[in-house]
Amino acid sequence: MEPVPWSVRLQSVVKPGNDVIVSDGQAVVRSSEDRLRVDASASAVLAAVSDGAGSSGLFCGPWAETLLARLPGRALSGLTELDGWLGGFCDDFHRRHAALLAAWPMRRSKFVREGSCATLLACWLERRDDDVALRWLGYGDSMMLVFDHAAGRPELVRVCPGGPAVLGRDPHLLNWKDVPVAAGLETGEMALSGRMSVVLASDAVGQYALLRAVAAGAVSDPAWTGFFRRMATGGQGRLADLARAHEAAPAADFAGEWLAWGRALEGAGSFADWVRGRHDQGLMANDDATLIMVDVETAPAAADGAVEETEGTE
Amino acid sequence: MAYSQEISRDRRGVFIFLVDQSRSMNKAFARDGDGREISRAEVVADALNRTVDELVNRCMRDEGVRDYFDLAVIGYGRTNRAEFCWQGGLAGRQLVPISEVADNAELVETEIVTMIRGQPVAETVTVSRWIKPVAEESTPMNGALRLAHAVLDEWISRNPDSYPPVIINITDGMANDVDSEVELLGTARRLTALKTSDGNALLINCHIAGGDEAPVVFPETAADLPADPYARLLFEMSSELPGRHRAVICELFDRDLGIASMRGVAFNADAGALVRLLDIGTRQAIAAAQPVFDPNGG
Repeated sequence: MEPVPWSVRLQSVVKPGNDVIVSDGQAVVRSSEDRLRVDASASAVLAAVSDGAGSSGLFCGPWAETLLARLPGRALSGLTELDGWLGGFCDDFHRRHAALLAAWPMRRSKFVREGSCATLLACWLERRDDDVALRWLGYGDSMMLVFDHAAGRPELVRVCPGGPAVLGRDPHLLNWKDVPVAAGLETGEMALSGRMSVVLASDAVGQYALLRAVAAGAVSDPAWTGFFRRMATGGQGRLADLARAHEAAPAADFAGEWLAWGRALEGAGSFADWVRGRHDQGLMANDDATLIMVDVETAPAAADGAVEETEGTE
Repeated sequence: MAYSQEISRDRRGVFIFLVDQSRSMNKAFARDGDGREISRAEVVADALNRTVDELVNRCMRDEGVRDYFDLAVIGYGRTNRAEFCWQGGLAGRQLVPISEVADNAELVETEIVTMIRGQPVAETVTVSRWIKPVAEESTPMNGALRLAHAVLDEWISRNPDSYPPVIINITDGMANDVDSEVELLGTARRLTALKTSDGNALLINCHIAGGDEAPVVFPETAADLPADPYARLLFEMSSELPGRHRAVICELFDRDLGIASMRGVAFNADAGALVRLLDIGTRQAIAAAQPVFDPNGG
């Protein structure tokens, strides 16, 4: 039996500037609305992130958790399959959580009117003879970044969402009230061979990782480099501020930056310290933070190093 | 850049609604779904309750209602003095944190039809009420503006770096507690001279009439208004709207995005114009509480 071709590291932490709310005379500490799931075996990995959108609806964290718990072991391939999968548990989620709010009519009304919203990013890795098949499904602004280490330092070779437009508007979100729409869904697949890494992250960490890579010159896609250049030079708002901060203080050595991400993932405390440090430096938004790194190493690639890629947005 | 401060519990925002409660507010203003006449006071109370409900809704999370805003409602005309018109558990209060506003709503059950995965589903929900329709005496608008100034002056001293206060005044007539228009204009100018580090207080005036004359909403210049001295006075009293407000208005009203100037005033507003004005008057502050690039930021 050949060695397992992957290793997985993961952490999730509540946002550094967290809230305490006084409710019914008691102080309530806000809980993170990020959720993650990793199932790894010798033959396959399921890694997923869901980011509950707390400003839209209620029970967004539990909804994110439900989405991840219900994920099937094989990839959901398109809109019809996604919708059918959601249809299997939306009604149950609605009924159970509406009942929990029976004593709070205002909250129940908000839940009934707005539902519960969350992003979903799921990656399915499957071992094959010579490589690893990666399939993904993204809905919303949680991010997948695929890095290739062949050149001696990580180079970003694939991003989901596939283009920067999603960062400039409210993301599509999965809601138990709604039928998913094609414009919100992105699916794709590619083959991983040699040394590659799949990074899954909720939006703040994903944007940090992407900006770090862009500022360090580890991204060749002009759509991303051009977008952040425009944001840094003339953009307004939080993302533009982040782009300027990264441009002003790029990682001197992206391989070293990569190692720092790995060290951050060694424990909950180190990850919380890393997130807080990046936030304090103005490099990461104040948000719940989730990061999964799946490092893949297959036997030496075929001579042509072929990476077969297909991608679809339905 | 002014009017860009993000609203948080540490840098909360504030809304004050000024409501004309003079006798003329009893006049018919619209009809309900059954054809029954509804008075100006009823329409205004309903629109205000919906606006406060939406503000509460936007601050509500699983853990409770976050105090992103302080609110006050000042009525003028129930007597010959302006007064805060909270009722029930909030009676006698002035500016109230929005979590307490939520805790003191009168809840009324109603049936709605909501879409769930593309299918209409009947549900029972509650609507929240805080304000009751009142139409009693005169129009002491000057007193209401002065009362708003007093509480906001103190509020700004506690919140010097917050998003600027927003004051929305809804009236159907001329103030009768002043000796001249100049006096009323002076009071309004003192109110809008109040400022945080993020900009001056915004005063938005809505004159409701419900007659045959077309409403004029957010005009560019006074020339856009009817040739009525009162319309001109309200225009002069009202704030120049910031760019973010203008952008939303241009989108909603399909106006040229290049408009460089717009006043926060509506004249001869009907029920629809009143609702739109309240929406726009509060929407920018709500947006400031939910940053553009962090819609799922909890």
